Parts: sequence; C-alpha cells; structure tokens
Amino acid sequence: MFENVIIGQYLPGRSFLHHMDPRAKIAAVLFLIIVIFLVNSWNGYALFGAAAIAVYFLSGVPFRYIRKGMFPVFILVILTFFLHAFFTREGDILFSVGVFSFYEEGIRQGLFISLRLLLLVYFTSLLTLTTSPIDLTDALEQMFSPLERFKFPAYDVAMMMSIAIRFIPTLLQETEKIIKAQTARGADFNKGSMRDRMQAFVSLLVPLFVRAFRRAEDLAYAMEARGYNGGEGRTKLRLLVWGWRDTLCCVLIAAFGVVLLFLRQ
Amino acid sequence: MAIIELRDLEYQYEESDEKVLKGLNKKIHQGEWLSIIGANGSGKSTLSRLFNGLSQPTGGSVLVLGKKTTEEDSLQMIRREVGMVFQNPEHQFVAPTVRDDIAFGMENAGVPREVMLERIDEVSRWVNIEHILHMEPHRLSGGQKQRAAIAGILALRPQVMVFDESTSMLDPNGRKEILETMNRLCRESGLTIISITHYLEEAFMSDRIWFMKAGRIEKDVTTANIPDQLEWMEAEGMPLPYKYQLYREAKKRRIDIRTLRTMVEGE
Amino acid sequence: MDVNFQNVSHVYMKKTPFETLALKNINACFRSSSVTAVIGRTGSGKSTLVQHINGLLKPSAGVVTVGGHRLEARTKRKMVKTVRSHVGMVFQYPEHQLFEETVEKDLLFGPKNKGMDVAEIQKKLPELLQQVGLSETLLERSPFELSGGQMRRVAIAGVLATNPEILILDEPTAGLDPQGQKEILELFMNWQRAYQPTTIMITHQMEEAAAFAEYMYVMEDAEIKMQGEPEAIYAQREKLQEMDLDIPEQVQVLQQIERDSGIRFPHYKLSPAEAADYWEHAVQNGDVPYV
Repeated sequence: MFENVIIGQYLPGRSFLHHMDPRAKIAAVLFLIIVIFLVNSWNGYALFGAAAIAVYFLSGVPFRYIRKGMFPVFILVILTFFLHAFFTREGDILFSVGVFSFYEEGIRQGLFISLRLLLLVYFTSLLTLTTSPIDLTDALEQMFSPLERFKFPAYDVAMMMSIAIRFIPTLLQETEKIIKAQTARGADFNKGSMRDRMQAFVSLLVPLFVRAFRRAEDLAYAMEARGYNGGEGRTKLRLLVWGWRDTLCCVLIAAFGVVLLFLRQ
Repeated sequence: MAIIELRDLEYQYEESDEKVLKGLNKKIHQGEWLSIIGANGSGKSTLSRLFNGLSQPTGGSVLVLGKKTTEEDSLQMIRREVGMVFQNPEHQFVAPTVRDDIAFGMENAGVPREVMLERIDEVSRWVNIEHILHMEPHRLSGGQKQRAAIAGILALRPQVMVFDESTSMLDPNGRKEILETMNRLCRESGLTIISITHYLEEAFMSDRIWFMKAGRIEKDVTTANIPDQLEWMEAEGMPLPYKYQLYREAKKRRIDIRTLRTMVEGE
Repeated sequence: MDVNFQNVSHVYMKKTPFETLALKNINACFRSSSVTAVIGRTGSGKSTLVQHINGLLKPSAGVVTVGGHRLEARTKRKMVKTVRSHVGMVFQYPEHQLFEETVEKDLLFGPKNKGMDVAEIQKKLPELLQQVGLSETLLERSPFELSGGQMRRVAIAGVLATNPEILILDEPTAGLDPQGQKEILELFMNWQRAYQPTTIMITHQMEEAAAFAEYMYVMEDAEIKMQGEPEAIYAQREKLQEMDLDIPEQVQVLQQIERDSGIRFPHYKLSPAEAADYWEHAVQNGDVPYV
C-alpha cells in the first residue's frame, strides 16, 4: 500500500528547475502570482502561456504528473468561469439561452480568471514537483529568518517541519500495519454503517496516537543526547547555493514582468 | 583512571515510593567494555540515562571525567564525551537522510561546515555506510539506522559510548553488524563502551559485567571469571547459552569435552 | 485446515517505477494441525507469503487454497472474509495495535467482528487470560496501564480468543528478553497441544524454529530456497551460511564437538544433560575417536 511513499509530490530529477536554488524558485513563483493579476490582455496571456510551456520543458516533469496535480482545481476553474459568464453584464450580448444572456465581457472575464487560476496552480505545482520538501523548508527558514528580530521563531518552525516530513513515511507504514492487523481481526474499514466506520476509525487512531506520543518522547531524548539545544550557535550542513541559473531566472522573470506591463490594456 | 564514577548513586521516580537505584558506588575505566545486564525493572535502563545527564540523580552523583552531571556548565561537554545509542532505530533517526542525521550532533555543537563534511566522510567509511549517505530512513534496515546513529556520535569524537539495548529490535544480521561495530569501537578505537543488554551472549563479548537486580549491582565480574559464575547465574534463572549448560553438565559428570573447554574457558 | 500455495506470485506496486516481485512462483503446503516455520532474512518475502493466507494480500498469479476455499487474484471480498474468519494472525509487536478501553473489550473485538457467540466467549475469558499467563483480574483494566510484556500477552490473547483453525505468528517474540521469549514460545506450544490449529510461524531465529516446528521453509529473494524437517535443514550448513542464516547455537555446538572428536550424536535436540550422558557412554564404549 505505502511501500514507496512520495512525500508531497516531489519528483526527484536532474532538470534545470531541479538544480535551481529553492529560494529563487519560491521568489519566482511569488512574483508570477503577483504579476498574473496585472495581466488583462489576450497578448499578455499568450505570453504567459508561452512562458508556461518553456518552463515545462525546463522542468523535465512528465505531463501526467502535472495533469494529476491540477485535476482537482479544474472543478473550481469551471465554476468560476460560469459565475463570471452568468453575472457580468457588460459589452454586447453574444447569445442567449432561455432567460440567460451571455455578454462579451462576461465570457472574457470568465476566461481570464480561469486562466489565472490555472497558471497559478500550474506554477506552484512545478515548484513542489521539482523541489524536495526539505529544500523548501530550508529556503523558507532563510527567507523568514529576518523576522526572528520580531520574535518569529523561523528556526524552530523549520525544525518542526523537517521532523514532520521525516516521520511521514513512518506514520504511513504504521497506519498500514495497524489497518492490516485490525483487518485480520475482522474489522472492516470500507463497509458498514456510519457508526461501524467510526469505530473502525477509532481502532486505527488510538494506537497511532499512542505510538506517536511514545515516539515523540524517544525522539526528544535522542535529540537531547546529541546536544540539541535550540537554534543558537548551531551550524548547518545543508547549504543553499545560489548559482548562475538563479540569477538568470531572476533577470528573465523581471524582464518578463516589464514586458507584461507594456502589454496591459 | 576512572572515566565515569558513581557515588552513592540513587534514583527514584516521582510517582513511585521505591528507589530504582539504591546507592551505587562504582568506577568505569577508560577503554573497557562494560555490560550491564538485568531483568526488566532492575534499574539498568534508568542507570543508562544518568551517564550523560539525560536524567539527574535524586541522590549521590555521577562524575564524568571528574565533573558532576548536575553542573550546568559541564553538561554540554559531558553530552559530547558520552554518546548514546538507544533501543529503537526508527525513533532516534532525526533527519531526512543518513548524511543529515550524522551531521545533526555536529550541527548542535556548532562544528564548521567544512569540518563536518570531512568527518562525515571519515565516520561513514568507518561504519560502512558511505554508500547509503543519500538514503531516507524508510529505505534503511534497522542495523543501518543504528550504524548511522553510531556514526553521528563518533563524529563528535566522544570517549564513551552507551548502548541502551541497541540490538534488541534488530534481526540477527543487524545485531551482528552492531556487535561487530561495538567490538571495533572498543578494541580498535579505544572507546569506553557501556552496553545495557538482556542477552548473555552479548555480555560475554565484553570485558566486565554488572549483574543488576532490584536497584543494586548484585555482581561485578570480569568475563574471564564467567565459568565460576555459571552456577550462580543458573540459580538466578538466567537462560545460559547451550555451550555453558553442556559445560556444566560435563563438569558434574567429571568428563572433559575439549571442544567445549576451549569454547568456554578460552584457548 | 490445510493451506496450499500453487504457483503463487505477488507483485507490489504494479505498473509503477517501484514495481517489485515479492513472491516468485511459490509452491508450499501447510498440513492441517502441523507447525511450520518460515525462515528468512528481512525482506525475503516471508511476511508477504503469510499475508496471502488470510487474504490481506491477493496473489498476482496462482492460487492459495485454505481448507476448501480458493483465493485468487479475482476472488470476491465476501469470500475473503469467510476465509479470514478461520485465520488468526499475531503481527510483530502486536501490543502496538491495542486500542480498547479495557482488556476485556479488546479480547472480544475479534469474536465480535467475526460474528461469533460473544456471550459464550466472554465466559471463557478468565481461562484464556490464564492460558497466556495473565491474571483474570486484569479484565477490567486498561491495556495501556500494563507492562510491555503483559500488553503483548493481551494482544496475543485477542487473536487466540477466536480460537482460529489457522494460526499465523509473525515473529511473536521480537524485542523480548530471553526469558520472555521462552515464555511466549511455550505459551504457543501449549496452545498448539490443546487446540491443534495449523500453525505457521515466521521467525529469523533458528532456535525458535528448532524448538517448535516440525517442518521448515527457508526463503530468500522472494523464493523458497530450502524446505524440509529442521534436522535436514541444519545439515546443510554451508547453504544456510550463503544466505546469511545461522544455525541454532545448540546445533552449532554439537556439530563442532562432532567435527573435533568424531562422535556422532543421534540428533541435535538433545538437552545438555542428555548430550553429556551420550558422550559419557560413547567414551566408555570407545566410540569417540579423539577425546
């Protein structure tokens, strides 16, 4: 069931995007999210689309993984499209169905919003597909570390996140084991009344929690024994390396933003 | 010189009204391999946590290199000098990969990155895990995880390593790997080894054994003197390995099986 | 109940990059009321093998026959449940799966799920607790207040409560001290004598297999590499060593004495006293070439 867990949706690889500094990737995605709300012309979306295709080839991620990641938001996209199509009443009437009339502006707005959503999800998916959760954590820790001055515990939060990520496979394996053991004793997790299912769920959750507390205690001892004492005076093995790719990416993205501004109507 | 010294050491859990450790006075010498053996509840695991100040005594004291574990200033030094390998391999693997896990202790100690890289290289080769440095814990065997833990401690250049039932959750191969590593740590690298175990076979590999019972060290014997202790051990209900049982039966009958004699008494 | 494996293969994570063959064309037979040990290193496929007997896993190819029931790739869930009601399985570290508020409730969890006469079984619980070496006063206690050893016994009792016709034990003594290991093994031996289930025990400890099982399968790399009675298996020392498996210490010692002295022991199950007696007589009769 959970023999080979992929944490988050990270796909190991050696592409251009994989080799980039996670900080550059996060910054780029944040920038794209902002500028996409400035785009209001067909030319602008065409350019954005072209960029999306270019980045796709830089990522080396098979298309089916992207499709899988984006599928759930499709429903949301279609819904927003129709909301706009129904309720925006500007411009010429294109056509009418019964009491509903569809206006040019409505269709246009609907398409724009849908494209925005799709591109947004697309770029963030590529970020998580090409960056390991641990790299993401490291990058976020560094990007938030200036906030430590304002008592924001960036370091501790990052440590918690990395431990959480580390123990996800453990938790999955344990879940599988307990499901199997309870199944062998005749429990059924897929059938029965609501009440039966709730009980089956409890039979799973209780041992999971009991084990998790035990594990937390052991882990605390193990960390203390190895001199863990919070973030102060700590050095780091993991190093984020800013390379030519990252500078290049930032320059390109900035240029991209400028061009998009010119394409605004 | 005694590397660790127990002075009138007592320990009592808050919720309990009986002491788990009742006034221990002992010295552990540099470079020796000491086994601590005893039934569940004999106090051996409690004792293991006192060696590097993970718990503090409720009476008496533990001295590591002459410093009390209760002294706040010495605690970091003591934790570095006395490394601990715990029972559950899964629960002491902190970091996302083997490399990061080895580095964890050094990161805490503020070791510069270049030195870390060198030492990771060195210790991972020493415990034979250099080929799995990139791997995540869920792809490792129990023995590999335990060796990663040992490497992480070795990287801090300790003088003592405490193994708290570190082989009990491993399969026979994993157990062999760890015992071999312990042997090399002591015989090649001169580390002082303290191993808490409930396997007699493992204890017999060491230099000295403390038999613990109800909070006291009932006997303190060197392994060379084991043949004299067999009778007592059997009376205490310890399941002796077959060769020792047969050796005792042979002695009772005044017969001499040479193979057995060399096995038990040594060459 | 007999259990039969015919050309059974199992593939994990089919059609993904992680596809692995966990069982390769297995043919095996576990006779009704017999005790069989399945031995092998971690990852050799032994756990995968036994999980086919109660349908936790289905064969990718081949058939598993349990009593009169056939389990195949396409077998329906209802059928699997029928088979499952005859099989009890003690997992590794079974105490990790306890969850009920009281010991009694936990013991009745299996019987309830399997639609058995709960009232009847409830009456027998004190006896059951005694059989696993616990006091009946524990029935009303929370399993989480108990010691590790007691928790394991409760978990084992929870499986035995349904009095299964087939009993699968997946390293039931893992992590216990030697005394505890011995006691748990004796518990199962007594149960076997009293109720005669078909018992299949996974272990990587040869000592346990030697003490308990009458037949043995040795697995490596998803295949059965050796099978036979324990004595016959131990005779092939080199083959076992190739697979990184050790023969029991007792057998090692006796074989070493045989090699050094030229004596031949009748079998390797001799107790220390019997072995010493045997040696004494052999020396008196001049049957030991080099003393």
